[in-house]
Amino acid sequence: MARVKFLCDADRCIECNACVTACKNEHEVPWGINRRRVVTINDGKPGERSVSMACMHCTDAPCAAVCPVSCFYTTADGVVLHSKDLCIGCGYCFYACPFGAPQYPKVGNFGSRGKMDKCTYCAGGPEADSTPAEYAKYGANRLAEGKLPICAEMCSTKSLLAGDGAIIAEIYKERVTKRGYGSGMWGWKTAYSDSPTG
Amino acid sequence: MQMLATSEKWKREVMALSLGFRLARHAGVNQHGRYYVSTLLDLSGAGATSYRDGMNSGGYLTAHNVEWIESNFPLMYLFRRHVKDGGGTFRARFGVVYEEKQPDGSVKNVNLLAEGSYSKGSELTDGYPEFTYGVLKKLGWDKDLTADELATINKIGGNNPDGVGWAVDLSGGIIRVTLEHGVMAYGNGKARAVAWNLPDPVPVHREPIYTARPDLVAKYPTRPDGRQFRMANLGFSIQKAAVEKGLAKQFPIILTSGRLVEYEGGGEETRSNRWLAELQQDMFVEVNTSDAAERGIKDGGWVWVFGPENGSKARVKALVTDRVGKGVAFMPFHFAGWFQGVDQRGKYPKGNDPIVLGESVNTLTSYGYDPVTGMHEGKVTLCQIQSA
Repeated sequence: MARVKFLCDADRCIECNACVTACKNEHEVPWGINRRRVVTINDGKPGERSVSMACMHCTDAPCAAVCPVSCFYTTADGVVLHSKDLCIGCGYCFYACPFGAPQYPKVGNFGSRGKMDKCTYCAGGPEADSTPAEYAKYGANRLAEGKLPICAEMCSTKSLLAGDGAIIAEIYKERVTKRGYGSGMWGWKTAYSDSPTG
Repeated sequence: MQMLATSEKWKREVMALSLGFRLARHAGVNQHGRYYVSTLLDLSGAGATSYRDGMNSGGYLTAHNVEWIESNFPLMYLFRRHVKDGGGTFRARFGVVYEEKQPDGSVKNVNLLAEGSYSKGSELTDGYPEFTYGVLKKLGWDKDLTADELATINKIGGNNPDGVGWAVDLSGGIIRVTLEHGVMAYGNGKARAVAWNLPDPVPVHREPIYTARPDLVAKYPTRPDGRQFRMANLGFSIQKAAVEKGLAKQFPIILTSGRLVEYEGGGEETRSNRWLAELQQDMFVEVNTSDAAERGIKDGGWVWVFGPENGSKARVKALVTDRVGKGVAFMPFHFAGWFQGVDQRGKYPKGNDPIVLGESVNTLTSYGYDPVTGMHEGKVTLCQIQSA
């Protein structure tokens, strides 16, 4: 089984928000909830840089470590998913996540936030694959159809890569070698430090 | 594309294509067994296309790769290929000769056709004009036309079949025959730096009508007043009046307008799309940090932007940034639905109001029309900005 990952090549991101739009359309994500977002630093200044961020599907996921109801699980492909039936909306995972991935439909504390929502790597949830019940809670299950996440597929500059971690790392290395510089694979050290190769 | 987007099979694969001139060229199943659609656009932008793995795209063109474009479309000056294989010449669209006036008053005929250059395999090894039935006859290529094609050409031509050109030959015979001979039906001309039939054959600097540098107007004025087609063009008078009134002092900031990646054109369609509307929820003006500091304008705060004509004004949010230089402001042109501070949502037909409304920048833009195309001046005017 492949260990799937996301890689955003920050030297290529042009902040077009196609990934965000594609994600929202694919999963019918409501207004105000962002499974993926584009963060721009030094906006309008020399050295401006954008990076597309979502759940990185960490190897040793901090969200899973802090969840009081153990609603998280990691698939054989390395995708971190959660059960909205178990989630109590406590918000611990939001504080634990280094990437700000968990999103909540409501504002408030102590269970009043509603069920947590986050990027599923287009892999749905615990329900049977590609069922209406799964779609309603987690959105489309493209992985079950043999497809990669829609955000990466739609990326206009191929900045955002998704797929087998070893292969996308190879693509990135090739780019860095060819262009002679690289800003780093944003977030990889944080997300995958325990498994640099797999 | 709309048809594809509404079909059960395609709707998940096709998305977020913006309006504009587009051509769905390729759709089908790729080597991985995946559905895909590729589009080629010659105006506007594509929001996204599915399954473009391994392909880089940018600008206005989305297709598989450059080889695909070359093999599907004739490309100007692609001489290394045969015309049947994507090769092409420069269209001889503007005749074959022009008369250039010489300083001594005499006239020199200048060749507008290519000289000694032609696409691969061309039987004509020099420039040639657009093809008509008459040109085919001169070359003796008319005998390659089928009886049906000839009948169509004669029918279209009436008394003058020789004048039937490739563009009006509904049989397609002229194009077919020219391709067989390795030449382009639209001729083989050459591009010119001197556009002899325009008011300024070579572009010259002319100050904008509302300029921040009135001292330069005497040396670089706009074109004299005139009449183009049915319309008077009073650019010169208005530029002169603006200088005399000292408008550049009252309106010290240059205002330009442009586009955002999320929206298209006037924005009514794209601001009605909830995914896109969420990304750009407010009409804004980009103000330089030092201009903002002088005026006490805070990032995200409301400001009034005043235009130089008719006391025009617009209430928008300030985006304080060094992306614009000192003395320059930028506003996107995709917004409408507010007018001079007042929300006009109630005036939309029920259910047709976009999700996001805002001031239109063209409330502020001012006089100015291109003498050839009549295109309005939406890119340069002056403004003043004040905290609201």
